[in-house]
Amino acid sequence: MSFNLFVIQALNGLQLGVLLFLMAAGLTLVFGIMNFVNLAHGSMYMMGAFIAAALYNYTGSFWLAAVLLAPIMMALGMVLDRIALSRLYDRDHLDQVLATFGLILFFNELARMLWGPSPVYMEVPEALGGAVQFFGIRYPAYRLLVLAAGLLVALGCYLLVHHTRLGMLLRAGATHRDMVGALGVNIRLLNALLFGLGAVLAGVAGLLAGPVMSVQVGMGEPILILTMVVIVIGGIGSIRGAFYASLIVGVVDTLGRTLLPALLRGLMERSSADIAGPAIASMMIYILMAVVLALRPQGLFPVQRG
Amino acid sequence: MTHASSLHAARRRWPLARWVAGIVLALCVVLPVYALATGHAFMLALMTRIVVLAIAAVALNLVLGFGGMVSFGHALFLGLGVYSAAIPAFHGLDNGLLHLLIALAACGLTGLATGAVALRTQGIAFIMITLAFAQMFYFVFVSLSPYGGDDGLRLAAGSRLAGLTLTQPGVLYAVALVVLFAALYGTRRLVAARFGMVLRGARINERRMLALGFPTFRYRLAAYVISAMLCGVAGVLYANLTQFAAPSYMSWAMSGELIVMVVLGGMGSIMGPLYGAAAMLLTEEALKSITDHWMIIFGPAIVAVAVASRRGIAGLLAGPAGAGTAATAAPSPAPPDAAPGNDARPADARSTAQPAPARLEVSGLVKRYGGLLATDNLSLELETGSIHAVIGPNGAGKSTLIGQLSGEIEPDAGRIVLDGRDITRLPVHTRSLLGLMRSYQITSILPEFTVLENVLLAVQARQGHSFRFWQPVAQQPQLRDPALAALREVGLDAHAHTPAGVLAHGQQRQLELAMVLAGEPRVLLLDEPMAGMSQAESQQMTALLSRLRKRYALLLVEHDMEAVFSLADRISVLVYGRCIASASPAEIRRSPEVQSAYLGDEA
Repeated sequence: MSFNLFVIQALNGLQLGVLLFLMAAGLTLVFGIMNFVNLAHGSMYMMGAFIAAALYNYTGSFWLAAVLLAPIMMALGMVLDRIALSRLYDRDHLDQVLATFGLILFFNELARMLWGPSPVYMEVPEALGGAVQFFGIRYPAYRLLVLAAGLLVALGCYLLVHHTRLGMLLRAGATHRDMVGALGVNIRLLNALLFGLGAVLAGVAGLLAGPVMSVQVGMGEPILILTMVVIVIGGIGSIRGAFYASLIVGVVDTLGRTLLPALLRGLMERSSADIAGPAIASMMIYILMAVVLALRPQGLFPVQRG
Repeated sequence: MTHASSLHAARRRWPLARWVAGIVLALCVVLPVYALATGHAFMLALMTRIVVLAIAAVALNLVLGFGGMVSFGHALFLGLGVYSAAIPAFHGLDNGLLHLLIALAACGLTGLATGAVALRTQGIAFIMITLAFAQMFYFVFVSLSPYGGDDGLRLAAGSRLAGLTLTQPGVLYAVALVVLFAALYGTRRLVAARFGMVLRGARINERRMLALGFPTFRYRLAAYVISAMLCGVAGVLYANLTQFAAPSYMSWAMSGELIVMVVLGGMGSIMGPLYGAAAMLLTEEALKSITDHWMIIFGPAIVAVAVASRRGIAGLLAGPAGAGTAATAAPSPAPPDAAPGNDARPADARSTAQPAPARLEVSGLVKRYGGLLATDNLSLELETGSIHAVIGPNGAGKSTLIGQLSGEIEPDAGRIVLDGRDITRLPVHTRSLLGLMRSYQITSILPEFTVLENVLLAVQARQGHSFRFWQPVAQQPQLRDPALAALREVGLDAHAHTPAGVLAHGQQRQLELAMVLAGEPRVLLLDEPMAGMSQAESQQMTALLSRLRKRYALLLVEHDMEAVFSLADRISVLVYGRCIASASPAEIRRSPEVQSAYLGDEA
């Protein structure tokens, strides 16, 4: 394992981390503020990727696709909220799990009907097709864009939540939901906006992931489950926790998958290392989650309440 | 209501559910015989799938329906069961008993380990963690290339049990049906036994269960492990049905389908999982025959089920809501032989013996919330035979004090000593078993249980050893007799078989007191027992408390001054967490400091 490979893998890990943060930001707010289990968040990611691919192929411009995607995802999230999710706000978690599980099946089948069962390929935009050289390392320019875009959105989220009126209402709603309603704020609209915003962020994650990973039916669930691990580690409802935990999970998962098999090869026979390596690597983030829970059941950065 | 009319009512409420259950179980026996005789292989395979998945659903129902734990990772245990057959078979071991033993051990240990972590949390976190653990094992099996990895592993040989091979369709069905019937009967026994009462109670009102002295975590974990093991058995059968093992058997989609079965069938009902499995798989087959894209209909149908109803098929069969949770939950205890209202034994002829005297000493107690001092260097004493009342304006820290004494709130400083033993850091349930019990300002009972069942739980907590899985509690005189005695004491014996949720407010307060008394306390902490009571009810309660004075060390927090001054031997006045006076009622009445505190003379 050369140092260069290590740096590249660490960058790949950070890149997975920012994608996870885009997913986690919307989801953790919905969990924390509305106490709502939304399993269909992964479907928003998948729909975002498919719609972006379709727009990209139709218009021929990655940037135009990105601009058009945002309002479409906003509308999709808000419509979904009005039709199905808003009926389940006050129900217990089981009903929410059940309904959003049904929605996953629906969206997966919808995507299969619209775009077919085989993966759709999205090209890396031409301007970013090359590689960037630094410290003797060649790294694909597009992947750097993903990293930068993710960090930019994270900054935007921070500013939105901590320095705007909407963000103040969101934070107030997270701890004192009834009181915010009593003060005359339109909680229903706030909720619909929240779902819309979450859908946009998930859609952007889908767009960014499109050229790197393959766009296919069922792509939303693996990342949804990773996102949940992130949220549990970071502390439910905490944007800051989601940010740090995303990066931790992204890096641990990516480095684990590359470093661990190599490490085990030095410790045991090659044939058994080749079996044990990937198996243990795939368990790492879950073990991390279990350790965090054992030490701090509220997560690393719990939301301050009361 | 006379005995005969209550039986009549029971017959009116029950017939549909009973008939349907009987018919469905009979069909489970008759249809496969027909399918075998006429060579309908597909029908037999479908029925086997229904029965095997119903076993897994029964397992999930135990934690989800009865225990209220939303596990979104139960496919993990189904998958482990499948591999418990497939991996040994791959190595040439086809002994069915061995497969079962491996499945039970693997699922039991995995359930214990994952449950111990996941049950530290509740709500959303629990759902996500169970899902994440299942996903973890999914990826482990994906990366186990010697056993097929993602592509899966063919079952090399069927499990052999007593000379039979489970892959033979008729044999597999018969074995699965026996397991299902055993699981259904086992659930029926378990939920009405001591263990099941605690499990169900913890779903309804965990705080009350802890206050009664039950370490609820252990019961949840035990239920989770039992459920995991039963799911593993279903997995071994499933491997023989599909003759294949793949990581997808433990995927989130499978876990979701198990939840759909349980909810569709009716959560927390005995027969629900079987109805749900049958309804879901038959719907699936019907939709598949219409279109390849059947999920486009199936998905929204699940959403509709979630939005529409919680009670599922079993709930619909049991009749309109409120027909009694006992109807969907467990066989309700038989009415007592004698009509309880006619039982005119005097209250002091009860069997309850005088408890050992107790002494509670509190010294230097401090509790801060940020800058607010809720308890300010407070000291007081309680002794058997006297009532110590604590009064003070709203926000004086009275409930915070009781919370610290009962163990729900941890003090920042100070000591709480019961009979010379420092209990300051002991958990709620341990204090409760030492004889320190409380009532809540807002009534805390188990509304879905009958009045008698509420009190039975309290008696059970006191007797310990509640890990009993078979004998129905309602048939145990060692539980029933003290429970009925406690109900008689508070005057609720006529309502023993009424669901606690439909009692009037004052009666619910009395019930809570009966639960506390049935726990054989020595120290009673009563947080506003008269709150919201009518004048007549308050007078009854006052009379009852004055009778209890002899037996217990009593701490009374109360706003009803008439009651306080007639009952208390000593009164402490709290203002802003500080005790400004502690003296006899007569002295308190005269104290100018107390008067100014109450009349707002602070300026």
